[in-house]
Parts: sequence; structure tokens; C-alpha cells
Amino acid sequence: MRLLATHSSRLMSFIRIITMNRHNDAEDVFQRTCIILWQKFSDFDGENFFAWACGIARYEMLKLRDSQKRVKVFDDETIEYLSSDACMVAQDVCDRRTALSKCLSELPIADRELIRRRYYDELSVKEIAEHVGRSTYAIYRELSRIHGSLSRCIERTLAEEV
Amino acid sequence: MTPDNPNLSELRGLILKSQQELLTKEDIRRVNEIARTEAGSREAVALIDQFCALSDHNSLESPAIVKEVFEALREQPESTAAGAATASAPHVEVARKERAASHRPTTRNSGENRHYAWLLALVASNILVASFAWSLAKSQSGFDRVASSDLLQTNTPDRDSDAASQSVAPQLVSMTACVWRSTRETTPTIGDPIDSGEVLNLVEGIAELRLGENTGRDALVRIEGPASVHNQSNGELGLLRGSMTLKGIGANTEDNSVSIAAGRVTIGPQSFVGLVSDDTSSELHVFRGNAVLTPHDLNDELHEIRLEEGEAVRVFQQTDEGIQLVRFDASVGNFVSARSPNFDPLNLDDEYANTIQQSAPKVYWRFEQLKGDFPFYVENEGTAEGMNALIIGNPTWRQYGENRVAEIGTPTAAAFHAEEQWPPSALDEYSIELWVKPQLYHHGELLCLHDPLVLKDGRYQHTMMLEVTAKHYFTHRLSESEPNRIRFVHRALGETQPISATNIFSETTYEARMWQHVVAQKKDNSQRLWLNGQIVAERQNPVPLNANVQLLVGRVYPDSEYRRFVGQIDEVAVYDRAITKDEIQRHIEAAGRSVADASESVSEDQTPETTPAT
Repeated sequence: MRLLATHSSRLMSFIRIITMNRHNDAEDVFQRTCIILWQKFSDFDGENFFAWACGIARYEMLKLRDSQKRVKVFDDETIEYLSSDACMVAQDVCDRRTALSKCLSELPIADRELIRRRYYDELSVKEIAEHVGRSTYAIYRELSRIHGSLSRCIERTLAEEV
Repeated sequence: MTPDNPNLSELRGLILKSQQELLTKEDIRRVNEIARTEAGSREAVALIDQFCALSDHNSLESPAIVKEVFEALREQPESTAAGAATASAPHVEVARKERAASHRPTTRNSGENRHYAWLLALVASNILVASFAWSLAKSQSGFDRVASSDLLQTNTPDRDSDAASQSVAPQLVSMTACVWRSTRETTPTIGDPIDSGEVLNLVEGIAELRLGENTGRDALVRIEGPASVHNQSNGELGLLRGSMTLKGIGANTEDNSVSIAAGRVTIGPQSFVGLVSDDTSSELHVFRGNAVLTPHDLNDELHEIRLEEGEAVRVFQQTDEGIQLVRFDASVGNFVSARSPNFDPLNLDDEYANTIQQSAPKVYWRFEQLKGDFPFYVENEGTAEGMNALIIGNPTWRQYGENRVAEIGTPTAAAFHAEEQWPPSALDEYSIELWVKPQLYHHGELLCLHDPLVLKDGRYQHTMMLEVTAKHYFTHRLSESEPNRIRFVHRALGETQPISATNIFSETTYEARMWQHVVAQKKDNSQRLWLNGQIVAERQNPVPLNANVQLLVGRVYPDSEYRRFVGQIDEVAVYDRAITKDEIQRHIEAAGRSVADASESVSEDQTPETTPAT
């Protein structure tokens, strides 16, 4: 229980990533994972609890997906690839949030406005496109560029702090 | 800066697209192809992690972190940001400019601080991920956004400009147990003017707004959560979704208007109406005076609809036959805020208490008087030792004839918990009986039995929970249940199944501001919920009730106001057996009330869930 409490926030971050931030899926997987971790704790080799938990969470996520009829963006093999990186990203979740805030504040004003509209005002890409009189394709392209720029900035910031 | 890799750019674009729409097979193939590369996998994960962080912007707050980053960000000038916004989003900017121009109380953040508040909240989200209870605050439909308010804009330019010139910002004057999902940077507080263009999203509770003070159009609006209202640029309120009442007050000499999805409602001076608006239909009820509904699409066949006192109309907006109208009698009962909390008195006398005593409760809290010095307590009139009810907070008391009831949750949270633990040994059957009068539709704990030991994160495990629920935006675990039900959870402490797998919900809704008789019961392998003398939910559940648990009334954790019940409660009785249907119905009748119609009951073959809880 103590180990789980220590790693629960990171574990949830990992699960949110591999479920593509689908809230319901993430919480279901988290619940199931906690149960399995508790039941199978005797199998834990004592090396790296978080990596072990991520492995179980990934398995539970794949099981949940199998039970759903939803179109899968990532196939099972890709999830394997992503899980490894997600586990590393989730380890640093607090630092990443702080870095993201800093990077957002450094964005050009127009870029920050676009992010604000999409995630704070919760406007859809289509609605943003209508407001600014541009195509949805152009908005996707802009968002992609900004997110890429944020990712680079976060990596840079984290590297600086090491 | 490193030039952007076209593959990674394409990957991000496709993942972004997947958040909004279905990808084609070719898109999915490309996503997977790129994401399986080392750089692609890293990029995809980084992007989704950003989604997680950005979608948490309006969640829990961590004051220390917020303050720290707030100080760092406040240095940035707002004027440049506002300029950029003007260039790219004229519609949204109109509202923002109007907000900036309007007067705000000094207690609010300054403009430049507000501008960055959401960034600060983002930082706070690193606390959120540590939470087991993941709060959700997602839009349920496009109605929740400012942009969608265009749907309610009426084409009456002369009236609009006139109203705007005379308008006084609506002001929030009272709140009862309000939970907001705000589109602004701060939670609405009493005394706040509602700025032009602003949308208020009330998740739970009742909020009262004062309109047009001293303009001859004085009116009180009561919004009943869940509901969304929009202060339109023409100075009128628009009910985007939900229910509200509108009452002309004082020396009203002029009409008041509110927009709903079907059109514009204008009420005469001193009139009092109820309004309902959702995606498919709108309702107008006239309780006093008169009102006119002017549909948005006036034509030869569709005219103004005039209603007098006692009349109501429902307008279906989108049917194969076009707009349809149904006229019926106005019903105050459909509007929670139109009922007084004193509505529906619960007159109980000694005969009622004697009837309960014949069923031999182990715990019986009548709330008639307090005993002791400090702490005060409600005496247990049942037979179990040490089960007096200690008071948490400051409950108030309401008298109905000879009967006194406890009022908790408003204005401040209050609760009762037993001095000792109960039962002394595990029980295969038990009954919890009480009278409840929720003041509003909300998610509140009526009574629970919890492990006395607190978990490390401050929560307590429960073996039994009885609560009223509401429409869930925040607790996704209940988001798929019907709103405004009574929920009964029975499970073993430390059960590995999630709580959601061990609950039942009443088939029918509970009534706000009305007394209801509730019994939660375990008998043999059955878990049953009774409402007003009829079974309204039942499932198989062989798990016994844990021994030595803590009885708590009015909230879910003894040392937190989380999930507090708002309303009145009386005659809590706990039995170590399943009281019979005859007993339940006899208790109701002893209160001078009628047992509900048997048609509301869930018969054995309609049992909603049959999965064993083990």
C-alpha cells in the first residue's frame, strides 16, 4: 500500500497517456491496476515497483480496449512502444507540469491564445476555425506546430534543471 | 531551434485530429507507423501528456504552487496579449472587452492577474494527478460555451439596443450549496455582477440573481443546477440549459425578458414564471401574472404564445413536423426553487415514535433536543449502548408542529456521528430508516457506515453508503447513472471491487424540498432500497455488514465537508435485522403519510442488477 501510495500519481499519469487522456478509461484502468497490484504483490521482485505497476497497467488497458468496440488509434504493438516512453514521462510528471507552465508563458501571444481557446475555452477545432475564419486543417496544423514547440521547450527545460 | 521533423508534425496533427473526429484507416496506419519509431513514440507520448495537463486546467488548486508561478507570470503585460486576441478572434474578444470595461469588486483579481490564472491552475494540476478521485469538468454539449449562445440571440435590434442602454448587470445575491463549472477565472461569489457575455454554469445548487435593480424591471432569478445561463450582450439573460424561475419584484412597472431555446419570454410586472430549456424542448409555466413567449421563427403559422396564471406550454423545437406546442397546467412542483424549505411539513408525534420503538431499533435519533454540555449530543432512543449522536459543525433545527428536525448543509456543513462503533459483530441483515428532505438536487451523503481508521490520503473506507445524487459532471463514476436518484452502496470493507460495482440506484427520482421515507436494507442475499414504502432498487449481494464501523449522518468523511448533504433529516433508525414491508408501511402511515403507489416498486423480476458483489 505504501508503495502504491508513493507512486499513485505517476501511475495515473502513465495510464492517462496510454489511454490518450480518456478519463473514464483511465480511471477504470487505474482501479483495475490497483486491485491487481494488491493481489499480486507477492510476485513483485522488489526491483522497480513503478515499472512493474506500469506493466500491469498496460496489460489492463489492453484488456479494457479488447472489451470495447471503439476504433483504436494505436494498435497493441504501438502501445508497447508508447508504454516505455510513457513510463519515463510519468516519472517526471511534476517537473513536466512546471516546465509546461514556463513554456506556455514563453509562447508567442497568438500561439498562447490558440492554446487558450482550445483547452481553456474548450472550443473545438471547428469552432475555432469558424471564429478566426480559417480552415480546420489550418488550425490543426497550427496546434501541431505549437505542441511540437512546447514539447521541445519542455525537454530543454528539464535538461537544464538536471 | 531544431527544425520540426515532417513525420513528427504529421503524427501530432493526426493525434490532434483523433481527439476531435474519427481517423480514416489510412490515418490510423500512418499514426502507428510513425509512433513505432523511437522519435515518434516519444513525440506521441509528450503530446498526450500535454493534453492531460491542459485538460486539468480547471481542477484542483495548490495554493503554494499557484502563488509561486503567479508571481512569475504577473510581470507580463496584458495589453499585448489582448491585442493579439483582437486580431484573431473578434467574437470572443467582444465579450472580453466588455468584461474589462465593467466594474468589478476590489476583491477580484486584477485584469492582468486574471489573464494568467488558467496558466497557474495548470501548474496546480500536478496535484490533481495524485488524486484518486479524478474530478471531471467536461462540457456536456456545445451549449456550455459562449459561442453557442448565438443560438439564443434574437433578431430584435430595437429592443436589444434599448435594453442594453438601460441594463444593469445582473448580480449574484445568494447561493445555496452551489457547485460551479465556471468559464471565468474565479468562482462566482455573492455580490458579483455578471458581466456581459458571461456564461454561468451551475452544476449543483440554487443561485439567485437580482436583475435590473431600480430600473423598474427589478426581478429575481433562481437558477436550479444543473443549468447554464448567459448574460447576453443585449442585457438580457439567456437560459441555455436547465431550469430557473423568474419573478418580477418591488414596484415593477416594466416587463422582464429572458431568452430560452424556443424564443424570448416576456413577463408582465409582478409576474412569476418557471422556465425550462434544453436541446430539444422548452417550457414556460406561469405561476402568477402573465407571460408571452415569442418564438425565434415567427411566421404565419407560429404566433406569439400568451399565457395567463396557471397555464404552461412546452415547445418541441425539432420534430419531423417542425415546432410543436403542448399546453398544460403550470406546476410549481417542477421547480425546486419555487418551493419554500418549509413546504411539506413533517408532523410527527409520540405515536410515531412508539410505532418505531415497536420495531426495536438499535439506534434511534429523533433530534428533538440536545443533551449534555459540551459536546452536545442527540440521545440514542434505541437499545444499543454508546450510540448517542455527537454533533459536527452547527446544524440548525426546524420545527413542524410538535416535531423538530435537523437541518444540515446550509448555510454551513454539519453532520452527526455516533459516539461508539456498531454493530458488535458482522450482520447478515440490517435496516437503515430515515426521513429526508433534500433542499435541492445535489450529491450528498445521507448516512454512511465507515471504517474508523483513516487512510493515509485522508479518506475512509465505507461498508455502507446512502446518498442522494445529482447530474454528474465531476464524479465520472456516477456519470452514467440517471440524475437525482438515491444511491445505496453495500460492500465489505477493503473490497477489491470498485464501489461503483456495489451500488444500486432508485428507479425513480427523489423529490427536492419534499419529505421522503427511505429504507436501505440488507436481507439474506438481497440488498434493497425502499422509497416511501416501495422497493425502488434491489440486487443480489451476499456480503455481510462489517462489525465495528462508524455511523455518520450528513457527509461522507467525518473530518471533511466533502459530499455534504443539504436539507433536512429526521427520525434516523438503525436495526440489526431487515424490517418487514408491513413494518415499513406501518411506520409511514404512523407519520400520517401514504405509502407510494406499488407501480413505482421494482418487482423481483425487474431487479436492476444481479451480479453478486463478491
